[in-house]
Amino acid sequence: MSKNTLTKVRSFLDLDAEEAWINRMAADGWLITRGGPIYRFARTEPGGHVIRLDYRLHDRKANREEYLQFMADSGWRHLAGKSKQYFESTHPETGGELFSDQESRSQRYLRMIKTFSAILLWFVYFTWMYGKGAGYSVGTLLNPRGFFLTPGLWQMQGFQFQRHFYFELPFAMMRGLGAAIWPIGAVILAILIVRIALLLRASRQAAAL
Amino acid sequence: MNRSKLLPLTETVYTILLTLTEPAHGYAILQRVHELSDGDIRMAAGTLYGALETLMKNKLIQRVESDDPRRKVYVISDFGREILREDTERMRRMISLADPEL
Repeated sequence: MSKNTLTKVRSFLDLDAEEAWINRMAADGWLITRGGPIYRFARTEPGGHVIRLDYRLHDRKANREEYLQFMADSGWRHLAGKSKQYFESTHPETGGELFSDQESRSQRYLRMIKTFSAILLWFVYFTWMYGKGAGYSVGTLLNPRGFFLTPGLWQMQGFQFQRHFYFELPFAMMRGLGAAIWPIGAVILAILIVRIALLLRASRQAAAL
Repeated sequence: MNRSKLLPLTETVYTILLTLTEPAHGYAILQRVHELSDGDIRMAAGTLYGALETLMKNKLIQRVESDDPRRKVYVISDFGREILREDTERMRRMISLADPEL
């Protein structure tokens, strides 16, 4: 008995590299049914598939439906994706391309940067706001004692100290974890945005050649 | 929008504006572009979709009421018509400059 679905974990920022991989999978008989980072594929006839990627996030359901209708009218079947969108050409009239000039191809990266930047702003905001009013903040990571809120804890001795310390430890660790997530997330997002910006530049330079 | 930033129009935008002198929905625009250019220009779906968004933002085209909520219908705006005329004038001038030289 051979399996009919396949799961693969991959991570791509480069849309061209991802597109090439998705098409290789289709050529091997695996058609994408869910986008990354945890991809799912279903058995299909090997070969003859042309899959292209767009990147768009719609603010309203009606706009997304209109977009998918337009793509379907134009010969593109939506396979998967809510922001990174995977389409298969269903008609030779599409010419097998989603974009007819390099600038509109490149602008996918511009939309990616916009989406990632909006998420980054949230992380910056929570880095700023974390613990406000509760007596600790992201800066408390430099002095983790501040995550313990038991009054007079650090003046206690012996068994009394241990009892209170170990009782509060899990809560303090949760506060510390919460404090770490926002700045770490913000740094990771900032790095991703720079990498997408480099991809955008490379994609636009390819147009100049 | 400052019109000097809109001009000159790209071939894609110029052709879309030309087809939208009559109302049309997305796929109909693709077909008209194809017919209008005798098959010379083949505009891809993703390129048109992005261009329509930009044209709406710059108010060169506008939405028209339609019975089908899943297919938005667009038409050129007065401002769009003005810009289209201006760009056509610009090209006419360029051609009249080029003609005696070629």
